[in-house]
Amino acid sequence: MQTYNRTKTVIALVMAVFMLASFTGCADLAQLISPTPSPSPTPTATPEPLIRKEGMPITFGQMSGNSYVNEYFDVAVDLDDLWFTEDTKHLDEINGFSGEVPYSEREQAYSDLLNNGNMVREFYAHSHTGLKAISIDIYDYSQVPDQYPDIFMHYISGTLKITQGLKDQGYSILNGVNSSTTIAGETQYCFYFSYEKNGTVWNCAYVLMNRDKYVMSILFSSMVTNHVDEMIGFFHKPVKKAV
Amino acid sequence: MRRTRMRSNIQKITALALSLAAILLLTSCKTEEPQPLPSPTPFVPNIDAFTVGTIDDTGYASVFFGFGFRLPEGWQYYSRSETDKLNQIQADPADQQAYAKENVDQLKNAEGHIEYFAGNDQKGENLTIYAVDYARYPDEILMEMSEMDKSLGWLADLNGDSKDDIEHLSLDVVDLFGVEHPVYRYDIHLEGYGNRGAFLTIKQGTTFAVILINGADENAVNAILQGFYALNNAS
Repeated sequence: MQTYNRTKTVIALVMAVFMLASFTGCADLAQLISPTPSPSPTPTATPEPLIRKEGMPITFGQMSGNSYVNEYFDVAVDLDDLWFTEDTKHLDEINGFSGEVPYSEREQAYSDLLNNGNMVREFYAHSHTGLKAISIDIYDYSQVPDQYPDIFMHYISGTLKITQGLKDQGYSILNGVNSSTTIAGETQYCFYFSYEKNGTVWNCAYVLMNRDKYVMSILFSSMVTNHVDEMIGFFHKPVKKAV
Repeated sequence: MRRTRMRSNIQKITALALSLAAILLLTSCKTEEPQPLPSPTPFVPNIDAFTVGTIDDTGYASVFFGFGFRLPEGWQYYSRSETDKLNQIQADPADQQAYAKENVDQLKNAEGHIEYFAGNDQKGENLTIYAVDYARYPDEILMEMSEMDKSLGWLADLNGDSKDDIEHLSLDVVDLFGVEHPVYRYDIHLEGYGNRGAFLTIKQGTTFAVILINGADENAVNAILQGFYALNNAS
């Protein structure tokens, strides 16, 4: 009868080491292409935000469970329960607030962020495995320091920042293709790219949507196998409510 | 008929195995706020619903994790009574309520929990399934990838001698139960562990099944992976 002489070592492996590890996905790339939020802004109410006086007034997206709707950009996404979406508290923290912004103040606080030239992280989701991630950021591209005459040049600038930023961080760019994709029924600029480090490959897509002076930057990330187009396909037009 | 055995030094091993590491408890003050839209409630397995998997001559099956494992020919395994001893479970399994509660409490207290161990020493093949839960850390982002990455430290030094035991670590994916899961594959240089290893986790709510596989070569590891199958875990 065989016994488990080596069990000692096997079982001694137990998962007692709970060190926090960082997951690096395309979501981090947003920092390469978008304005950086100011640290810990104070969400104070402004009686009449300047942003609402110019062009079409922007409104922010709404989340419900694993669904996100942004009427302003006319996009929505519904993820199944194999996905995890960041809640508003964590999004507020990502956006530089020290804690959760009260719901009644969030629209104002986020408008102020845009007015100050900052990016707003609207949405972040990752699959339960951690292999796939989606992030959505919004900013006023007229306030981005490196000005270009049109949104296309701004998009090209973003692709260059992504590739250079990855190289600076020690990643190898495997490929990068400027293309287009249909997302939520609209054809948009799309930069498909992949990069590698220590044998791990990230497949990504960077999609820009533009309304007035505002940009929605959507980053898709898929580790090892490429599910980027599948994730782009999750997006659709918001369902119009019956009047 | 297979029989199971347990070595006399298991209790000593268990003391080491079940040692806990302190985890920084992230605290937050969450303010209640109105929801702009009604929130659907997706099914999320709750740690309070955890039950240990069944173990018998055919293998392992966990309704909670939603998967089973077919015991390969020639393998031996620890019975549930033996894993209970490893886990230092005191309750009598016949008292289902007390038994379930003790197992759940153990996981809630972030104590190590060995769900299953089976192997074939002659072939250098084995499979270990641990369970770990993070319900007590509500602010922690839980992903199979991040759980795997947390464990890279001990994976690299399996016998704790401060020397690397694995090399050529690579991230791969494996399709289990219709879902693509990340898996680390690596060469291993420890006597009795075969030559190849695989490490993956299966997430259910705040709980993970942490799975460690050793085999003679890549084919053996893949054959072990093919022994997993899906169970319907309710909704």
